[in-house]
Amino acid sequence: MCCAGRGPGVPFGSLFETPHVSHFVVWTPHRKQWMHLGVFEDGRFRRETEGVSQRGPWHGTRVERPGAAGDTGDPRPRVGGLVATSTAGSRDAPKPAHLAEAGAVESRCVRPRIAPSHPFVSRLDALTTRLKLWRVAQMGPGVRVLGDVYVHGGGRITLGRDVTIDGRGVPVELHAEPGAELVIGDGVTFEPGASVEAQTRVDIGPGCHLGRLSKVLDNHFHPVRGDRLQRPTSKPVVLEAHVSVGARAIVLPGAFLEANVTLGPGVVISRRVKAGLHLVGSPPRVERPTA
Amino acid sequence: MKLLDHLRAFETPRPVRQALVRLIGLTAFPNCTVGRGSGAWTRIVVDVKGRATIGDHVLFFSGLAPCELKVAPGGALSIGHDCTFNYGVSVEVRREVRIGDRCMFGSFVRIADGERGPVVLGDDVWVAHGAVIEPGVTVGDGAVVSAGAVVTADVPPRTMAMGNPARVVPLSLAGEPAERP
Repeated sequence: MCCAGRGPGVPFGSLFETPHVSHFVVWTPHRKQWMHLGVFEDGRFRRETEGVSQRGPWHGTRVERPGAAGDTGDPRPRVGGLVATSTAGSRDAPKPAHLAEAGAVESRCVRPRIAPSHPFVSRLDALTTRLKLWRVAQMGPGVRVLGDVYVHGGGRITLGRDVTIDGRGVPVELHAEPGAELVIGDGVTFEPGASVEAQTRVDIGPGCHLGRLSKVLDNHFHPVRGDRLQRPTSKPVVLEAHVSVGARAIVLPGAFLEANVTLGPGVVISRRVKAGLHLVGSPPRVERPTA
Repeated sequence: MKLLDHLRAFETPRPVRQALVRLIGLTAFPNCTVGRGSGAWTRIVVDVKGRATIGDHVLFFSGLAPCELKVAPGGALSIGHDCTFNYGVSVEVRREVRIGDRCMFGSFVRIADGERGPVVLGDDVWVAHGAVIEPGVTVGDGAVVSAGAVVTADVPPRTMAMGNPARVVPLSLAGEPAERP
C-alpha cells in the first residue's frame, strides 16, 4: 500500500538514527515470498528473499520466514544467524493488531510494479523505469532498469515480469523494426551492452540471461552475394527457457536454442541446439551437457 | 493509446538525419583530410596524431558505443569512399591501415595494426559484428569476415572467413569458384 521501509508514523530520518539493525519483513505478492529488508548502522542496506541468498555480500546465507518450523521460539526474524532487533525505528511502538502473531514484524504490500532497490527510492525507480521504457508496448510488474536502455525501431516489444535490464556503462539495445515482434519472457536478465534486434520475430523465453555485449539477431542485414544494400529475408530466432548467452556471444538468424542451453563467451550460433547443451568456442563445440 | 503508438514508432526523419550528419561531419574529424558528405550520426572519438585520409560519403552510425579512430604519431590511416561504420568500431593505427572503397563494418569491430605489418582491406569488404582483425592481415576485395571472427591470416578475395582463429570457408561469393588459400 505504501512504499516499504517506513514504520507507521515514523519520521523519515529515524530509520538511520537507530543504533542497531533495523529489520522488517514484507510480503511480496507477485513473488509469493517474504522479503527481508534491513538497514545497518553504517547505512548499508540489505534485501533478502526467503531461501538462499543469491548475491551480495550475504551470498549463501539462509533466510527463513519468521515463525517457520525450526524456529527457536524467538519472535524476532532470523537472517543468516543474525537476529534482527527491532522494527524500523519504532521499537517501543505497539504493533498493529493484524501483525501481532508470531514473527510478523511488519507486513506491507510492496508496489508490484517494480522490486524495490531501496525502500525510499522504489517509487522513483518505478517512474524512471517507466520513462526509460516508454517505447515498450507492454511490460509486466517488477521490471527494473539500471543505467540506460536504448529502445528503438517502432516494432512491438513486450517484456514479461521481473525483467532486469542492466545498462550501466554500456546501454542495452532492444530493436524491433515496424511490424516486427520482440517478446521477452519473465525474469530475463540483460547485462550491459546486450543487444537484441528483431526484423520479424525474436522470442526470448523465461529465465534467459544475456551476457555482456552479446547480440541476438534475426536478420543478417546484408546478403553475402549480390547487392549488399538489399536486406535479406529474416529467420526468426527462439531462445527457450533458461538459456544463457555468454559475453560477446552472437545468436544469428535461424538459431533455435532449446531449454537450458548455455553458450560460452564468444560463441557464434545459427542452428538448432538440443536442450541442456553447453557450447563453447568458435566454431562452437559441445563442452558438456549441463544438468 | 493510438497517439502513443505513433509516438513509439517515431524515428528522426531522413532529411533531418542527413543534415545532422553533415553538421557533425564538419567538426567530427580534427586533423583529418575528409572528402565530401562524410560524417557521423553522433559523437565519435577521433584522436589523430599522424595522417588520416577519409574519402567521400563515409558514415559513422550511432548506437551503444561511439566509434574510435586513433592514429599514433607517424601512423597513416586511409579510408576509401562510401564506407559505413556501425557503432563501436575501433580502428587503432600505429603504422598503416588501408581500407578500400564501399567497405561495411558491423558494430564493435576492432582493427589494429602493429609490428607484424600494415592491415590492408580491399574494396567491398564486409566485416560483420564483433569481428577482430589482427595486425599484418590483408583482406581481399569482396571478402566477408563473419560475425565474431578473429582474423589472424590473410583472407583471399571474394571468400568468407569465420571462426576463431578465422578459417576461410570454400564458398563462392561472386558466382565463380572460390580461390582456395
